[in-house]
Amino acid sequence: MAKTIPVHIKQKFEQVVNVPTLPKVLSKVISMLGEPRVSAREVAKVISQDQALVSRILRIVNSAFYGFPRQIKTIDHALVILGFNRLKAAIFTASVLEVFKNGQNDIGFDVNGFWEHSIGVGVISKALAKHLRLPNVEEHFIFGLLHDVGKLILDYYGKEFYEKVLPLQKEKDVSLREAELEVIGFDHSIVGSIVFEKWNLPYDMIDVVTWHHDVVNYNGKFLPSVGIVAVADFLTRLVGIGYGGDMFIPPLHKNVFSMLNLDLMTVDYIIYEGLSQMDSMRDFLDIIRG
Amino acid sequence: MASRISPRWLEEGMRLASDVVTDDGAVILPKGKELTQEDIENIKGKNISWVMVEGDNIFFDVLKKEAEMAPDEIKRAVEKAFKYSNFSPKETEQFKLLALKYRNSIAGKS
Ligand SMILES: [Fe+2]
Ligand SMILES: [Fe+2]
Repeated sequence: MAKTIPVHIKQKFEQVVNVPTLPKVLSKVISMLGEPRVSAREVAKVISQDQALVSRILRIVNSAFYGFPRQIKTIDHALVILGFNRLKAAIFTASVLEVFKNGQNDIGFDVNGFWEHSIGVGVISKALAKHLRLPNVEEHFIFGLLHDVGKLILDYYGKEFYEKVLPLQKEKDVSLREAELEVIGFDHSIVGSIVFEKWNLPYDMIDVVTWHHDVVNYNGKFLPSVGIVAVADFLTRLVGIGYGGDMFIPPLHKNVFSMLNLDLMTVDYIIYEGLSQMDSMRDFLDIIRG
Repeated sequence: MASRISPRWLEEGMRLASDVVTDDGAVILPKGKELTQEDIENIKGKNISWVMVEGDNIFFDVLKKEAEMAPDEIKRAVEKAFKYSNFSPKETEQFKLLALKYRNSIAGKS
């Protein structure tokens, strides 16, 4: 469910933020993954044109993300063992992270804290998806990992905005999102939305990024996933993992908890489950930063 | 209703609401058993994360005890973190307990 973003916001965004284009191979792979009839072999062939991408994907495949005991050495092998659908998440992640290798601005954004927060939201999203028996449990880790990607885009490519936002957040001691709204007039979820749409990422991923601070107004078909990431974001900040740009817990409509059938005891269990994955998922952080 | 609690909070006389099962799937104590001191020692020796006992207030009693263990510094941070909360006071209180419990346990580990 696309959010209608007013033209003047898009213009304002585009005047300041020079959104990087994805490397050719990546955008080719992404568009192929969106085609219903594409074969795994065809995708593997395109991926293999970019050796950096190949090695990044293989590192993700061999990380705790899939928790697979044996070393997987080729994309073909990964496709056989994991299947196409499960591998898609790794390919999307590798593609998105490629863009954030270089170019961070020195304007005081805590990138380590950001990734720690993102991994926290990832592991708790995954625990929630597992608890709710959703079919694509692993993908929820990725949804959580990338939900705040708009902040990273602003830090890397929107310096003109963030060099005003970050000091204002500190000075007024408000949430980062409130400071974004005050300075820019829109927040990181809109930024993520614009960019992910541009990159033709899958609709579920776009919706999670777009609506994670506005779940009550979302009535698209990925409601469980959008709700899960919003709750995971809330819980990650509740228990104080990482740094999402401020020390506050985001407001969340309580209907989201009842919609997902979560009582306090279940939530306690989910946090415990998620946190138990935290250490092993940190090697993911190395892949991202590495 | 039942409560899921960590074995460290088990007390003699609590009644099991489900079987106690080890990581490898062996049932060591059956549902319905009233716990003796010996049972509790047995569970604690088995690396079990959770036990379900009868009575839903037990979960909240334990959670309050766990939250109470957090130092003042964490309590202050949690109070502040709820600036944007739109939950009812009762719900906010419950979430604060979770926040204190986990922030304290994370601080203890690092
Ligand atoms: Fe966010
Ligand atoms: Fe977040």
